[in-house]
Amino acid sequence: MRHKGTVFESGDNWAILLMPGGEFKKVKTKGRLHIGQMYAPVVRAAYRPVVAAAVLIITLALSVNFLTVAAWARLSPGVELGVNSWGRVVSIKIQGGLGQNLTVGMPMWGKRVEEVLPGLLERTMQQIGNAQQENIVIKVEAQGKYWPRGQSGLAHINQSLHKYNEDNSQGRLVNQDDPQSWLWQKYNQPAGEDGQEQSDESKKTGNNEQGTGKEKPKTDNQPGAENEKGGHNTNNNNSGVNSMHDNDNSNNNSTINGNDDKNNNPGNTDSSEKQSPSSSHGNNDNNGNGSSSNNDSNGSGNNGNNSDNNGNGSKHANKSQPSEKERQKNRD
Amino acid sequence: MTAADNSQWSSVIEEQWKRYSEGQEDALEELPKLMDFSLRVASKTCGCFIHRDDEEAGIAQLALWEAVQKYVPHKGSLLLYIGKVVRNRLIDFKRKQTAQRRFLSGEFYPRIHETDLDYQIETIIDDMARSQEIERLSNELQPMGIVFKELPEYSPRQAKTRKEALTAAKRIAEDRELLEFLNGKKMLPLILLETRYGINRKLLDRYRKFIITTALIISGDYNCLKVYLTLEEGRRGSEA
Repeated sequence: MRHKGTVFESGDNWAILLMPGGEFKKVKTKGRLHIGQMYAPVVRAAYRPVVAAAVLIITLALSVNFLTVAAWARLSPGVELGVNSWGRVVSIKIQGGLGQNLTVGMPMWGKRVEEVLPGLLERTMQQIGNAQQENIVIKVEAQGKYWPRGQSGLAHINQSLHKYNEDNSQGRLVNQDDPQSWLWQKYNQPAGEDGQEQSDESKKTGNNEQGTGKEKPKTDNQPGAENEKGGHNTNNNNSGVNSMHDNDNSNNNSTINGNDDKNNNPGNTDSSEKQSPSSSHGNNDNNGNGSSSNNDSNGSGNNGNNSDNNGNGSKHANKSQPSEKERQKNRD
Repeated sequence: MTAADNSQWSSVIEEQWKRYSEGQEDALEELPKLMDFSLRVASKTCGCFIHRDDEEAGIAQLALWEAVQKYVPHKGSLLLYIGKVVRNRLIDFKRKQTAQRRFLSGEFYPRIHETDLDYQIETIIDDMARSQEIERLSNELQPMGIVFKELPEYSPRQAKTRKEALTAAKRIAEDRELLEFLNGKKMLPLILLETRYGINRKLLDRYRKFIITTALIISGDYNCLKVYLTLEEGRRGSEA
């Protein structure tokens, strides 16, 4: 209940009241009041300062939380990124000229580490990789600082590294013995003439490999669907197409498919990475036995083609076979 | 002002009006009070403070004279009649003043119902009684160098302290010697209060103006204002 007081004196927006209990109060009013008039002053809600204080405290806490570095990502060229628990870059430390060159014109503060770190790695590859014609080694270290905040930041960094591995076709980040230490490695280049050819092809079709790798499920599914629909001719055609694709994959993506698999299973990756570069057939085996069921469905004939192709090292021969079969089938 | 005071003032005005209507033109001694009354009615009608210089104040004065001239005793109370006339004239004035739709629809100021008008007039009369008391108190405090503007500053905010200060004021009001000292010398009898009633000197010094004001209200003829000081006493009494 609002207590009414008597107006003793009033101005345009103020009044002096005698309140019940004998208290003289100066209050703000909306307009001028008459002397002697009863007036109930508007009591300011008691919770207002509490709410204001709470909002202030929350704002401060959030800002402190935002600015606190939860995890670090250290790149060997001399860039150290501090990431908060929300995955935002809040600290950038640069050491050396290379680090400065990497970060010039690249706004990083406050951005998501998933955006910053891959970009930074790309830049590093461009600047270091061209100068040194060998495998580029970039060490990325993510270090948790506080628990569980540090783990949250660490998770963001790891996520960004996984994303980088998925998107990048030239190399990958390998998790070393220390789970928080990542090593950038270019894809292995097999020794020998065959290996050189393969690597050349893989260089030429570097992007396409990735494309075929991604489109692989489509090509696998399409023939399958046709098989369900179609008759004999289509089956033959499909087998030819399948074999062609498989051959292409086996020739060109021998290492890449293997790598893709290994990216998904880092444990396997480590073991295959330690193998010699001449283990491309081994990768083929992994490819055939591992993820793609198409190789299994195609049967041994296709695998035989694969092996022949590997021996010949030519794609055209493989591609001509299905066309002849098609012609024959069409004649029939 | 109590209901009895209201009716008393009303009867005084009606008696004066009778003499005025009989031909004694200087019989309306309460005319300034009636002016204030009509201004209050104007304020209530317009929903804002009306200064004496405002156009509405002139309308209200004209309406007052009109009511005094046209009043017929058997139609009811004079004050009520004055209130109705002032209100109606102001509404007419506002309608003429502007042709805006919101005025015509009565959006700008709320219409006062007939039943409400009685209550409003009673309220206005009470307000006027209080304003007279406040004016008297202000005149009484002037020689002691106390103005109302200072009182919030020197008024104790803690309920406990306020209670102690009011007790001191009550002692002064009840003790004739202390009251004479206050009225004569226009200052607080600090030593007497301290020695006779054991009231803290610091309290007396700090809240001197508040204690003087409340002592004058309690001891004087301020029936409307006393309520604000005795009400607390009653509460305290019921608590005890």
